Amino acid sequence: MNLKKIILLIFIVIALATGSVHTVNYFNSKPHAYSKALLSPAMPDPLFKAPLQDDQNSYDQTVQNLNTGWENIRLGNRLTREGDLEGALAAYKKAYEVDPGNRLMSGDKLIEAYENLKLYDEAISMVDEIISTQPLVEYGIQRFNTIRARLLAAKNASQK
Amino acid sequence: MIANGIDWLGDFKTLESQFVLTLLEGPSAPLFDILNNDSIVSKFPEPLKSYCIQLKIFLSQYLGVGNNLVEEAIQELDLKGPIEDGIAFVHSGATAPLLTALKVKPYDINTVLIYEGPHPNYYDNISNPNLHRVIHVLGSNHGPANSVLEGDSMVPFLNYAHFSNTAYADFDVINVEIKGAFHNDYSYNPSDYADHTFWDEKKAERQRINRRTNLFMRDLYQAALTEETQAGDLKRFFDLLTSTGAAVYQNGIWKIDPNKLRDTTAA
Repeated sequence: MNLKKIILLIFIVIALATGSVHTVNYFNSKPHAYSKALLSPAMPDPLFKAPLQDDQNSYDQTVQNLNTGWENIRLGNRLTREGDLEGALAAYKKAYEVDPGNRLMSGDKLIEAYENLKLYDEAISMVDEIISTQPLVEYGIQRFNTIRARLLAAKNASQK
Repeated sequence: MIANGIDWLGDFKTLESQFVLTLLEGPSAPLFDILNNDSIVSKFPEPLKSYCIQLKIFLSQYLGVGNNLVEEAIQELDLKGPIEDGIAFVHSGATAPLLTALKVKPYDINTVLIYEGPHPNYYDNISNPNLHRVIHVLGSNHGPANSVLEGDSMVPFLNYAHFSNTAYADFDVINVEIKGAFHNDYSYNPSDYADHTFWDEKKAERQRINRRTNLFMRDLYQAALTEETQAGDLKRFFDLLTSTGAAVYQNGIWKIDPNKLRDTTAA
């Protein structure tokens, strides 16, 4: 065996080794595999499909919740304008419940709805819930504390 | 995409694009004129005549030569039937044609929500009595160097909006900039990120920004829609984003931190 053949053989071995490492990485990468599995009905293994399907499901669910939440906020706005304050409260409650990602908006609306009905204790509880559960920065804490102070003053005034 | 770009440049000439177009057209401009003149083409012998007709169709459909994007936008809007108090969402090259269409015909569209929409004149007067506001959302990868290095699309003529509307007194322009968002991040498809081969934190962050930008655009659209049922709700939306540090108002721009935006919740 001459030198050229030895060098060629070394190259082939290195290429095969490198290729096999990449191939193992490639097939060990489950998300890639399940993306292929999703494309091919001949690969119905739920092990492959499950993670991507979870991503898709949680995204679809979030979008659905987002839309339903905003629809209820708009319903609450309309009912408030029409004077149906109880109906508006129910709509904002539904928005708060259904879309956890937008609880600052629906919670803010709920506080107003309680205030419109002069349910000051419930409104103050809502403020406290937002302060304790939402990732507020200093401005946000000040904002909701200002609302809290206004509600307390209104409550005291109503009791006189 | 390149063909769409040429089409856009042809219909919305800026000083820079005029120069580019002159270079592109140059000596071939008379040929385009002949192709667009049906009375001349009809006199050609076969098969040259058929070839020229096919070439004209190809240039129109795939390069936009000889068509008019504003007319296309008007046709699209007219096909939708009567529009009442509508919100229009546009992306990229569709922006300038839509805004010009709103000037040509006073469609009842109260809000135009733009995601990364290049425009030849961001100080244009969009005279339309029904148009209350334009919201322009940008990513933060401005400039060719950033775009190429980060893997984003390189979009020319992209900037903050300063439009006016002399036909509506309380007209408002809202500029939003999302840190790290790419040109197509208004849309999100989990399958685009299914391939986790050589997955790392940078790729995970890219997916996260895409997903959160998409959800933010959905929220923004809904907030603009809700504004029409109760004035002040759009302002409240941004105010509440400020409450969590997700938005900061700097020099007339709402700067958005995607790390503090909402994400998907478990199904």
